[in-house]
Amino acid sequence: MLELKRIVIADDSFTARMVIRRCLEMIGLEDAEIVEAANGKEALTKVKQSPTDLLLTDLNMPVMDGDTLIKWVKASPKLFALPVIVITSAGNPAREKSLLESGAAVVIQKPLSPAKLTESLKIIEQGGTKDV
Amino acid sequence: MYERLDQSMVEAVADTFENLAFMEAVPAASAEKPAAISSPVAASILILEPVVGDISLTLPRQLAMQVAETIYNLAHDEITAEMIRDIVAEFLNTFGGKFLNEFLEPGQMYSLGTPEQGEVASALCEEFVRTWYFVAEGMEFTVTLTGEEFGDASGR
Repeated sequence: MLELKRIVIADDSFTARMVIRRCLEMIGLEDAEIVEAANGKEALTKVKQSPTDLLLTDLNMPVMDGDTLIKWVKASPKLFALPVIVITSAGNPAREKSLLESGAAVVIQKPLSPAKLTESLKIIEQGGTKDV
Repeated sequence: MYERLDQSMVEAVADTFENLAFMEAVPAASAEKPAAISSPVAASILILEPVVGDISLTLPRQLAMQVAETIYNLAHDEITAEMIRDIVAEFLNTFGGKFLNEFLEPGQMYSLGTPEQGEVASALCEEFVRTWYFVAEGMEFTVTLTGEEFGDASGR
């Protein structure tokens, strides 16, 4: 399994952040440092502050949305390799394709579950991209 | 006539409650319309694509409190009104997306608005309104869908 020491979660809903945090803990990542951000801009600041191993993000957020966050991350030479998982309730195959093309590793349809998260991390470990 | 619509909504709501709150949510057994929900908390969300409509969720405050205690792992008196509002919105957003994903043709694009607080008095459609009654933790709650094209689509 991937070694994930620091994980940043970006979602404007603290319920969603808690659900993601709980899923991370349930799949054995309870020792990882989990950092929460309420929008894309805050998440970008946090991934720049300290080396981060994984970014999980919602799409619809105030201030900076998930699409823009991914573009900023992938445009940064320092952050380019950071794996990004998008967790969304939006169903748009064209948008999902575009997210994967713009650098997201995996797009997960809500509701998130430990099984979906585990599958996503396996995909990242194998270097692939996919909708889950 | 509305079998696929019903099945999609029941699956979406049940899956959301199971994954987010570890709770079983099942359709209410009674064929009669249940009594009004006491001390309700509600939210609604617009369906923007591929058809226009909205979905609303109305829960008894006590059930929302139980969900909050499970998700946040907090005591009853530590749960704030903001947490309750956020939970109702997130549940609605999650099962709304899953419902459309289940109901629409595979790969069909859909889009939801942002959840808003409060009960729906839909100005969008008065011709097709369907309400589902569920039970979780022994408490009834409702989900209502409006949007006339759902009535048409269900009959195809």
